[in-house]
Amino acid sequence: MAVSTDREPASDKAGGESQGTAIEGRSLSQIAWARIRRDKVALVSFAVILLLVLVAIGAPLLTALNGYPPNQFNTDEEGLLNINLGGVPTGWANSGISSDHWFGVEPRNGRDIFSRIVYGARISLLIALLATAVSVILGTLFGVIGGFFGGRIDTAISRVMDTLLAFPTLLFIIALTPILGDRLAVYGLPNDNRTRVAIMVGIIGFFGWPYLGRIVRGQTLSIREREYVDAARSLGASNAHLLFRQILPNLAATILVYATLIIPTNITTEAALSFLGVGVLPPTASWGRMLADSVVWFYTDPMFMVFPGVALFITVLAFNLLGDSVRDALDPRAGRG
Amino acid sequence: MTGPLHEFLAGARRPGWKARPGAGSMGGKRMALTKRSARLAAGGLSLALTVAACGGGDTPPQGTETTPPVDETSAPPGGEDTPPPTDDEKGGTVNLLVGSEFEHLDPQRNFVTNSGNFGRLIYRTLTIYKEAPGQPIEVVGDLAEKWTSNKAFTKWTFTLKDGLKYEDGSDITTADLKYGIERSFSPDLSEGAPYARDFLDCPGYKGPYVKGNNGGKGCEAITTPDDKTIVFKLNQPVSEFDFTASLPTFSPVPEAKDTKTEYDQRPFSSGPYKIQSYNRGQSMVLVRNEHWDQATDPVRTALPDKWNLSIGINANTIDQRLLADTDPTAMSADTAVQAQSLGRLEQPGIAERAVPGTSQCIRYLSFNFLKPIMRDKALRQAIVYGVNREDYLTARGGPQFGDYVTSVIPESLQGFAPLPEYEIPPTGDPEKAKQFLEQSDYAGETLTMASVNEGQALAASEAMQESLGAIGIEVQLKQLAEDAYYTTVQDDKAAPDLIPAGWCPDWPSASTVIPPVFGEDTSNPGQAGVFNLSRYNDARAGQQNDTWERMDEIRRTIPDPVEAGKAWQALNAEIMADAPMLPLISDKFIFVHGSAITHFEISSNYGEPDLIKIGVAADAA
Repeated sequence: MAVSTDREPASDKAGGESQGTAIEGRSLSQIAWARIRRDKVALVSFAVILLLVLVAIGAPLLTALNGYPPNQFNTDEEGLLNINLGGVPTGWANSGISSDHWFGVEPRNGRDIFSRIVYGARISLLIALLATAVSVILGTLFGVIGGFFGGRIDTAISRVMDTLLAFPTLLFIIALTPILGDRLAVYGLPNDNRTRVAIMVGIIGFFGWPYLGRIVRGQTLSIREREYVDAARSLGASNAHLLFRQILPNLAATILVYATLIIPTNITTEAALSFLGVGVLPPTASWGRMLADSVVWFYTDPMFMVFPGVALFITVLAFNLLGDSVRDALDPRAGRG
Repeated sequence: MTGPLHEFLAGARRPGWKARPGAGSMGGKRMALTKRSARLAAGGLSLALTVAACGGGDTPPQGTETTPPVDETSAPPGGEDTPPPTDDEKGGTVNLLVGSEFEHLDPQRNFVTNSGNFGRLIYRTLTIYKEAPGQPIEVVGDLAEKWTSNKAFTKWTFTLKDGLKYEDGSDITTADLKYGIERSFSPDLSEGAPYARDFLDCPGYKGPYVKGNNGGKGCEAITTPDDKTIVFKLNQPVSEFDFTASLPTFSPVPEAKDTKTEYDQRPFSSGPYKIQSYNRGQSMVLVRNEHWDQATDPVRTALPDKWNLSIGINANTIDQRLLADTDPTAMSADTAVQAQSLGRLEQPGIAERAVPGTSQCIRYLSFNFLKPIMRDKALRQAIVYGVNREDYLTARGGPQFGDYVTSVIPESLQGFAPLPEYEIPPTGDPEKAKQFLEQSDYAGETLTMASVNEGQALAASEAMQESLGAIGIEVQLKQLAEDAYYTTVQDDKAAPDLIPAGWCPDWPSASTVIPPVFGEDTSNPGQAGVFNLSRYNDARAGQQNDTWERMDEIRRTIPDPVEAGKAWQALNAEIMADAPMLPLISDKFIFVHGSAITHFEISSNYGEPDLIKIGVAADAA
């Protein structure tokens, strides 16, 4: 790595001990890792996220455990729903919570909320992570190109970013998502859930890249004027070398920090789209869709809103806290206690 | 929510009162108005009576709808059965909470149940339905004092009452009536009921705005020998033309007051109220039309002095406000209680304000014959047996929101008979469905089903999707906004394989059900009509049978309503043997009103509270 910081105070006891390796040139990532390991908030949120990922991956196993596939109606289950009261579940707080249905069931159709939360985690994380990847790739690519080459290329890319940033993004996504599905169907792409997920990933990712692009461009502008870049350039390094060996590695921290911070934004965007009815196609479970369905039941069956709400809250909070910690850990100038 | 029973589907309805798709609002608020006329029953009592009367199928029909108009029939005098309201009941202001904005208030464009109901406060029609709890609906004269037809039912003469005035005190004349009806021929105002265009014998006439209104002669099938007499010459026998004349199309519009498409904003009042202010999408205020004379009006009581409308309020908000009774003078006509609030209806203070009602709107699942895969009869039958209607109804709110039906003809209509092959258990018959599926050519293709994108309509579509999935038919939902629902499913290119829809008769006759739901588009011969969502018998879907000729024949050759009812039923049974659709439920609902609202009765015709009878308690007034 080209840069190692000499500003890390020598008081990094934990890091030094646990690594057991030589003190000499520790890379930024090593230092950051050491810092994160000392940060309890970071560890807890990381654990939560790890758990969520495991739950999402293991969703079929978990629902096999309780025996209720996420889209299965359980209306034939004796005494589960009170059909004379609009199909509201029976039991505690009208939630349908029982030893069979750990989080209760949905009103009207008796679908198991635990199974749907677990499967909803898949959709939520899948879309958020892939959309983030799209944003990061596009943002880094165009940011670096604009910042490094400057001139007309930079002007063009910057104007595109300005234009996209000026878009009323959410409204645009709401309008575009269903239409895009229909248009793609004309070209033979099935208008099914997979296509819909791909569209959401593409759109959310596409509208997210200019934010990152601007930051990367600014960083690139400043990095390309640094002495070590000048030195490499004067030694006859190619543009490719400068970009990939000198500049990109120094952007890694910025990009990583930003990526962890847009993941929660993307999770809420996905939930918002599903809430508004332009998310994944029913009956696919999605937290946003569950929240939308639960709004009208709030008075009679509040727990229907609580479970997807809490799931969303915990996930977004965990990613946000982890993002903060990563930023603190990677930013040498951040004030730390 | 809304949706037109709107919810069903989404609601759109152009021609005909159609049921709203579904959405949200109450679920049924307007099943699209489908045809308005038929909804029956409002109170449970009247419902029960009606059903009892008609349930046997061969029981002699009772009620006006079965009595053909006879020569020299004159309108019955205003109600002796209900005591006229006393003066001390008059006064007060009703705060009307409106879920969805009226599509059109221009009488000639007004063809959805919610606006049809409301329009009666502002304008009068030739005839009008008289409804009372426990009594069959009758047609009585509104503007008309009496009417007669010739034996062939092709020439109808109406005579107006004396003392009819507009809001400015001028007299209502048959010339205005003729002009108003002529407006419905204008392509600019085509949203209204098509019946004047369909029945009146003036081919090629395009309304009063072109060619100097046909050189000043207008539609020559309408003649006005004097200011009190109007004569209609029809192009076919219509034994129920006095029912037709109750549609808002048959309202007077003075030529001098006609603002063409702007008339929607401010119809000139002939009824008990006039529009004081109207902020479209937000609010409206109605105040008394002092020139309206109670003595000339057999049905309207016009008790409140004023109506304040708040428009575009979310159905749940309406629900919460009415349940909490925060404003005792509040009520809603287009938004009934939501399923999730049923649990609160038992509470004291609410129970006595809850009024159940039924409608004649039938919801069904159409199979789109334009799609080659849906031409496979065994597949259609598999779907018929595979759909779990109990889950469907539970998703719509449960047994208080609908009854299972076997036919698109409501039970209350002349000639109704249950179709035995559609008497399927509510949970479906998966065994039989799988047998049919095996006989079919279905090989795992994904079928698409239209659905409103929210609320109970979506939940109901998901229920059908799930039950079909359980027998091995993969279904994917095509989600549509409620206000785009009917437009989309009526578009031959955009329509999916399976289309949930709803229909209400325009008046109590199967002639306003079978032709719209299975018939031909009269302006595009060979193609299915806009509400024939199955595209049944459409030439583009392959083989055609003689169904459409027979519809025409019944209309033209069987004036007797009893005979016609039997003929429609026979035709219906024959069509349904082809399994072009699955009849699901007829809508029911419960309304809650503010504690100071009085005379809150459900109009079976509109499936909404009867606005022309509402009053406000004196202490709140």
